[in-house]
Amino acid sequence: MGRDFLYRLRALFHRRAVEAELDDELGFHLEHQAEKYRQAGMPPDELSRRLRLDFGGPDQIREECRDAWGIRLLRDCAQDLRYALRMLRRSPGFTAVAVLSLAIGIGANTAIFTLIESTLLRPISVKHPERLRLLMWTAPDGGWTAPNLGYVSPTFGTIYEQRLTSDKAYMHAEFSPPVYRAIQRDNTVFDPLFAFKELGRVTAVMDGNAEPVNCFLVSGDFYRGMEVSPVIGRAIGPEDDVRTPAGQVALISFEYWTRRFARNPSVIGKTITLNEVPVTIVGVNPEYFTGIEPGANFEIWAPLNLGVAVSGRSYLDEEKVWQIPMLGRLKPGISDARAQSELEALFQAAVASNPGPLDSMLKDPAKRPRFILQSAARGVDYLTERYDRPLLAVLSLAGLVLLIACANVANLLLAKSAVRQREISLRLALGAGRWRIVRQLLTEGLLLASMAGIAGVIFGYWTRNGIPALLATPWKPSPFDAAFDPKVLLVSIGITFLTGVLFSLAPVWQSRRVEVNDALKDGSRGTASLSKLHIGRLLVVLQVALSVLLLAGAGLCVKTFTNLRNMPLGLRPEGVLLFTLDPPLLRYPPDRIGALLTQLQQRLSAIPGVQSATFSGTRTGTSVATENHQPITFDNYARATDIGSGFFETMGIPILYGRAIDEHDTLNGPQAVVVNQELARHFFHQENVVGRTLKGADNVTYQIVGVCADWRFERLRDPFQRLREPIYPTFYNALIQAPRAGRVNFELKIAATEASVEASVVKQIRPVVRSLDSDLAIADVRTGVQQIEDGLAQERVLAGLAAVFGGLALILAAIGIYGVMAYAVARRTNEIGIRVALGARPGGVAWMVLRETLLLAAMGVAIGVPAVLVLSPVADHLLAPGWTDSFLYGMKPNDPLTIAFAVLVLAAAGLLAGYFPARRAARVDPMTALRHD
Amino acid sequence: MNERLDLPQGTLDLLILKTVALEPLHGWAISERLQQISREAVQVQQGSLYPALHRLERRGWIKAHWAITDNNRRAKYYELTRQGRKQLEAETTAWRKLAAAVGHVLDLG
Repeated sequence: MGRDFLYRLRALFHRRAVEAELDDELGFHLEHQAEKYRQAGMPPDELSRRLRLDFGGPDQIREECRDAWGIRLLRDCAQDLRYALRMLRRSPGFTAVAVLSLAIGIGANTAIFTLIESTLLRPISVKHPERLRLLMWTAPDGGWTAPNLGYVSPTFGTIYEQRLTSDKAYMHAEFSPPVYRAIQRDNTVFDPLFAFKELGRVTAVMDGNAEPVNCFLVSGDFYRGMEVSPVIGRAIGPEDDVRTPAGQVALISFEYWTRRFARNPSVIGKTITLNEVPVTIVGVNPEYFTGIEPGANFEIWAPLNLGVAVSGRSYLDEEKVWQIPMLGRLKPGISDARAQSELEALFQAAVASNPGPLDSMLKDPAKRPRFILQSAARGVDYLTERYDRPLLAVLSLAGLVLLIACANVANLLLAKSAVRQREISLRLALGAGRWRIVRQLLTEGLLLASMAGIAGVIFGYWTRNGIPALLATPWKPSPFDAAFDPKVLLVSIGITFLTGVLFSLAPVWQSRRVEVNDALKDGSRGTASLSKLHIGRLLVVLQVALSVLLLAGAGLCVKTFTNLRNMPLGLRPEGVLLFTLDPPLLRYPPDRIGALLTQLQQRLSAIPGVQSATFSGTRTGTSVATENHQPITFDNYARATDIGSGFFETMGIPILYGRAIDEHDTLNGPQAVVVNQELARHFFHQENVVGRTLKGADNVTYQIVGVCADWRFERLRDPFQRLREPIYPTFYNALIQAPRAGRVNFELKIAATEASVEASVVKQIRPVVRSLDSDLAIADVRTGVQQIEDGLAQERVLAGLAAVFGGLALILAAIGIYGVMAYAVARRTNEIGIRVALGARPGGVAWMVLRETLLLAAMGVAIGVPAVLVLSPVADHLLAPGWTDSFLYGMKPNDPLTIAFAVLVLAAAGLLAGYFPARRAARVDPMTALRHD
Repeated sequence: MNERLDLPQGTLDLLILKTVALEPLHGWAISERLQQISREAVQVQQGSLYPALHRLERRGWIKAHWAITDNNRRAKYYELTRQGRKQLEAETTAWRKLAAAVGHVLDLG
């Protein structure tokens, strides 16, 4: 085998030497044979005849020897390739169009697949991620688990993770301490089981410098369970995971080590202050380990007890609060089914003995909570749920574009190969095998595809970060990082090969029908009507249909985006600057926070260029009762936000009745609230409710001092998607009157919206905050407009991509139509010449061509429009975010205007594409045409 | 002349192997030897010898080297390899069996 291979290699690469040897060998033979005959006395003229007779044709022998070398196929392929290259070089226009359109298609698919691979498919980078499991539970329709309640709840802490199951029940990844302890103690399937908790943003102070960092808390078995070892220092172990440690310790991320400490190993043993708590750095995470949440970036990794030190709350001691997420590493050989059944039993027993707030669910068998074991190979994965459907939608769009590009290239090849029918007949007549012809056509197709594939992969590599970049904002990084993976390259090569074969099929199919003498007789003097181009027309019709689909989809996406964008918000985001402050609890407990905020507000207002400054706390939800003492039910739900004085003025929200929250609302004054119109309507059934009272779940009675106009976007950090939600009954109370520790947003109104003023104000925020307390860190500095833009990022990206893909589809379809019609006109020049000679008017001839064009377009539309009607509701439903049924906003999926628009644009493009061939047909000079061969 | 037989498929290879089994030979010598030992009864077009030689060489049953002939000419000599010898034995046995079997069948008639 090896020798055979070497032999072939030599024949292939030392071709010249091998051929020379062959010549020598054959020459040697002939000489000896001639010598033999000469000695036998044969006359010279007889001699050469005999030699030929004995030996056979030397060229044929040579060819047979080459066959024997076993390189014929390779050599033929090389020949095919050279020939194909020559053909492509001879029509650079065709080559450029074909390669470019395919490259765009392949490139788009490569870029999007890169994104899908890194966002939806790639496991987290730890050893054996496939054995990690996330523990979850669900309950069918359990009151507070209904949609729209997925934020802070007083009983359940922050709901860490919620996902919709198929039957629209929420899944939860958080458990109460008794359940955690029971599963931890009694399970036999995990080694180990460990807990974690996202602490969120804290202020790190080091060397007199304050900065915001994100902090992740883990139990003692976390590092063992994830099988992650630090690059330097040590990991967190069970000895660190005690209630009251001698000293707080933490690891830092590789990225933070690089950014903040220039990878200096002396960082080990260094003390930093996190929200007033001194913490010793004991290790640095390896570079590959960025955490268990894809897309998240935590600088600080600490034992769970840091949470106690920082917040005063112990996650492991609040027996009735469900707030502990858990991960486990399955022992080798344990099946999911076995683990599931064991854990379900443990869970049920633990819940039955410590139901806590799940009490009501246990009474109704239909509402009993169920335990769910989920793969955590991708960690605790928010990205999949958020991005899988949009990404798949974009991938389908890109796939459609590629399909249209394929149809286009097939069509171009078809037209070319039709012109080459004569050549093919000639080759057949000269004895070429049909397989050889097919191979030639396939080689040309694959060569085109490979050129496009290389260009496409480069294009895709360049643009792979385009979508993440579009989703990133000035104040927070992109949610995902599109690292290029060899797997992606394989997929691209696969796509390239497939497209090459796909669009070569048409000309191959056509070549099948070529007869040896047919085309030679017929030549280009064809009177062939369009009907001879079955496949070509079919492809154009297909292209038009797909383009209608893409254009309509693009139209719907763009319209949804503009509808959302033009939605009246009820506030003026222009000239508003926002930033976030996280005052550490230990430094600013509730009784000191009011003073801090008021002072900060005063100093910020004094910055030149700032008209007003205000602040707002986090949004919460509560059940409320009016003075009629309605019973508190789910229906009485209202949202609540703490705000500072001047909030409505700064945000540009009109007060319709009464007054806004202002500086008169002091700590000791009556609890004042401003309500929105919706709350007035919902609870009081009237507009002006100034002077009435409200009672919250905390039994505090609030005086309504004003009614503000309804506005959306109440909580400035919410994803803008929530814009589509209805407006909730909401009240605004003075933060000063019910001071709470925790995150605060500041809002500044700037006098002028010029960028220079804005920049100078931004520059002064930090010094002003530091002048008050140098250990406070500000974060997320952004403008109101940026914030809104960010909220619409997903819709904008989707609309933009759909529009780009729709435009490409349109251009490709136009090229396809043009190609087919131009070819038809070229083929029919003789016929047209005769028609003109017989008295046809140029207008009539042009119309004949245009009519064909319109017919093709109409057939495409006739397929495309029903396809839109069927597919768009499906796509709309699939793209819908969990809490609503529809992705589209402000219209139905079969929006007639959008579909009409798509059809019209396509018809216009079709006419334009048909115009040039029609004009050429109209200008045919009968004399030239009839002489034309 | 007319009674010369065309070689059955595959037998040429066997004959070549047999021919070069005794000593290394160049193409023309193989051709001559074939003519002699088959008593000129077998029709081998001389040219078709060469593709067969190259094929056998690729398979590794014979190997070639260039050497100087008695008349001081450069020629390509072929000789049997160890693998080729095995192949020759195997093919010889197979051929004998086949010939015997065919002969037996014909005798029955």
